[in-house]
Amino acid sequence: MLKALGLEVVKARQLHPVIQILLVLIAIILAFALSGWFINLTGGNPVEAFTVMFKGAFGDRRKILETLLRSSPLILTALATVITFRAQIWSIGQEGQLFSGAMLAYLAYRIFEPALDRPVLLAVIVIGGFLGGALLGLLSGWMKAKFNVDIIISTVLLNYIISTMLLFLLYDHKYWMGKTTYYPRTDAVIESSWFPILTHDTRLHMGFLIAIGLALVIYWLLKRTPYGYDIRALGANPVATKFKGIGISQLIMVTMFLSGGLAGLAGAGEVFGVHHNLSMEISPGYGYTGIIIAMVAELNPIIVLLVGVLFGGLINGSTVLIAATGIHSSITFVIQALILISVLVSRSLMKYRLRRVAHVD
Amino acid sequence: MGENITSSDAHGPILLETRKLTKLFPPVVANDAIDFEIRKGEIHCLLGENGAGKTTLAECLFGFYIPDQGEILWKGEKAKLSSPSEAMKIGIGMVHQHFMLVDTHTVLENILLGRDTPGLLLDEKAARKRITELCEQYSVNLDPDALIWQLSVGEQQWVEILKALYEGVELLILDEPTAVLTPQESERLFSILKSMSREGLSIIFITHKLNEVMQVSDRVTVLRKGKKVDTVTTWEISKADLARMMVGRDVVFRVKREEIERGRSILEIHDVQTYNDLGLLSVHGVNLTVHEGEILGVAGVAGNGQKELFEALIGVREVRKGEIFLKGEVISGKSAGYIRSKGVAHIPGDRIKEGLVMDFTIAENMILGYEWNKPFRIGLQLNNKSIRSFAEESMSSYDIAAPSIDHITGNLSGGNLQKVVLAREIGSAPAVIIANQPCRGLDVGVIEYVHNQFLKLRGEGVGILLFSEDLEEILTLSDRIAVIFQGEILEVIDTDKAVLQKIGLLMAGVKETQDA
Repeated sequence: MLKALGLEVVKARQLHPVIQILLVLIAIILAFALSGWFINLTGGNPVEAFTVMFKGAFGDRRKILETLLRSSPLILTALATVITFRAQIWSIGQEGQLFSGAMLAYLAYRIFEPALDRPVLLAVIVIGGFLGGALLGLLSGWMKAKFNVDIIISTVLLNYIISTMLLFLLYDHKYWMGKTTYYPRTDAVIESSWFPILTHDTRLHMGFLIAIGLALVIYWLLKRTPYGYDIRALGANPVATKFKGIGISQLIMVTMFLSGGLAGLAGAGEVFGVHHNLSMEISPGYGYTGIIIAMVAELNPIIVLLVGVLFGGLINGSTVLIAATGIHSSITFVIQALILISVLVSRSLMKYRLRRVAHVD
Repeated sequence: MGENITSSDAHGPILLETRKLTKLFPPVVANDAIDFEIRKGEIHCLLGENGAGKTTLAECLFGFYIPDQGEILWKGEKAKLSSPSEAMKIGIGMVHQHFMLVDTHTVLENILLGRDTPGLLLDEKAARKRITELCEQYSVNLDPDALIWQLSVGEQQWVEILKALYEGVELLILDEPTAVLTPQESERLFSILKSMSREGLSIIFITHKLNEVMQVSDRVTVLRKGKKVDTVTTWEISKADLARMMVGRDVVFRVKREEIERGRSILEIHDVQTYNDLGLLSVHGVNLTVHEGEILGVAGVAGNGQKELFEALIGVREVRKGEIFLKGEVISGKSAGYIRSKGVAHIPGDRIKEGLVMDFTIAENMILGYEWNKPFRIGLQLNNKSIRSFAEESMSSYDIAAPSIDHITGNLSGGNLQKVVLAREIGSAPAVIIANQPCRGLDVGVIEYVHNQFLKLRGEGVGILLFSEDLEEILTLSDRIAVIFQGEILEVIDTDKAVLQKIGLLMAGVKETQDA
């Protein structure tokens, strides 16, 4: 068809980075425009909706800090995605690892809470959160290395297994169900286990600083260490990696361990920083949103920070949406999906261009 | 080889002509204003190094690419070739380097596949008759009902040629047809091509091998860097002149191999068996010993177990039976990383897939596999300073043509890619180098360079096991030659006592039985 129009598709030369960033921004704007059209179709007023969302997310200092609070678990699950996807290990287990991190952190709290001082208790909770996710990740990595079980399959299935296990524990007074409640949630954790608040008048807790710190660590890890080098090599050419004798099984297990740990920290942060109890509500799909963020950020840990804040703002801004405009907050999922699609499409389109074919006659 | 019989009337009418044909692959000009002509009944070689634009020109004539400028004339009239099927229709056929056959179909089915047949039913009977006739005409033995995968590579190539002849083409384009053949099979192909041209078929024969040009062609057009250097009559020109036209400078045909003492044995292969990817036994009990300061060449036609043996030696393919010793230590069954760490460097057969990470910078590729080793690592971090200085040094000593060490490797040409692999592997100061087709697809100049590097290492006492399908290369470099056929080493011969004829026969699986 193109040939008939005298055109052909050829590979484009590498675009200037500034132009690339501009094009991605245009793609994001386009995603919002499409979402606006969608809102319009459902009878809402897009301008009003976006205004409410923007004000809700970035309207004043407290709202901005609340947005940062929302973005903390997203950044962590996105970083978990970055290191696996960079190695082309397609882990979808961030949601399950978030829950298992929350669970082991809570278990550690139950065991050690009476015995320990606050700083030590906090450290134990953080380590528990990390290990909870990490061990679950390691399980998938080990199954891949040992039995060649597909990572996608094992991580997705483990997501279900973990959340079902949690539900089981939360639905029985014998186990974790709170004494004072008939909802599937634990009693509130005592205040000395709460993650320290960064400013006295908001909920923003130390988890945000951990997320930023870890983004920098992951950046350094990928760029400056032999381990990160191996991850990038495996992702870019697994055959050459194998031929050069880089231990792929070990690499996959270590990476899945770290990735799981990052997602697990997100879970611990939600329990001990935000909700102060453990329930299924600690994550409205943060694990999956993290994957979207990592993809939009082109698997770059620094850009993950920016995209994470944008998505945190979307979630935060949508909380008041239904009250203010009558539009359900699930519109954020539509926006997220459209952003992902348009950014991915724009990235593919950047690689090609149309060229006029001179005719031979 | 001897005399060159011009097999046809070199002054036949012009069949096909290009005028100022230009094809761009920005930023590369693959064909730059090329004037080319081929006469009826002529064998015309297109000679040039890799990347000179030979295949591009042929693909333009075959309608696979559309030229950006210039015109193509067929029998004096402008032709619009916008697809291979149009080219076939007017009478142009092409046999590509990689065959386009369906493995699980028969010869007959492959020949009939994709033809515009009038009516719905294939006239199998007539087709079979025509194919048998063609085979008889050129005295080729080929069963029309044999399945493609059962055929040897040489026979598969013949199916491709038959396919074109069946269409009744007047011009046949062959893209490096001898790359997959034994010397004997090549000879046979040449004689068949000559008899075809005598009957009026025009043949464009693409090659980068000078011997073939001298042997088979009536005229030759030399391309260099996308431009036509000249078209000359073959019998009027010498090989040395052709080489100079092709490369743009004088070429030494054989690097010098000095006599040196062979050292202790360093790599021993005892009765090794491996499976191929299909789970079939493809290496049947190979025994070989490589000594320090020795190049042991493994000659053979592609697909006789070289790849599997190579992979078993470097630790990426399971050794089913047998043992491999490095300096007396068993290394079979150990990981590729362990084998590498013991001083076995390797040059894989496919540098792009197996040897390099194309998305990495040159500097990054220079340490692939060695990134945990000192001095490339200090503590937890990569030591950028030593990586960069190693890469800079390698770039200049190996004469790698790239803007800088931070250049993305994927943008390099084949020769430069191979130099990156060589710089890295030789830079690791190995005790043994195992190389699989190290010069495949390289230009004459780079090949000379690679050969010199190998001989230098040999002089330093490194043991080298060289797998190659290029007999010329094996003869040039090796101290001893092992001939592999269907996963077995048929014989190991001292190069000084080697007879080309005999090696060729061994490569085809024929052990000396009749006359000595």
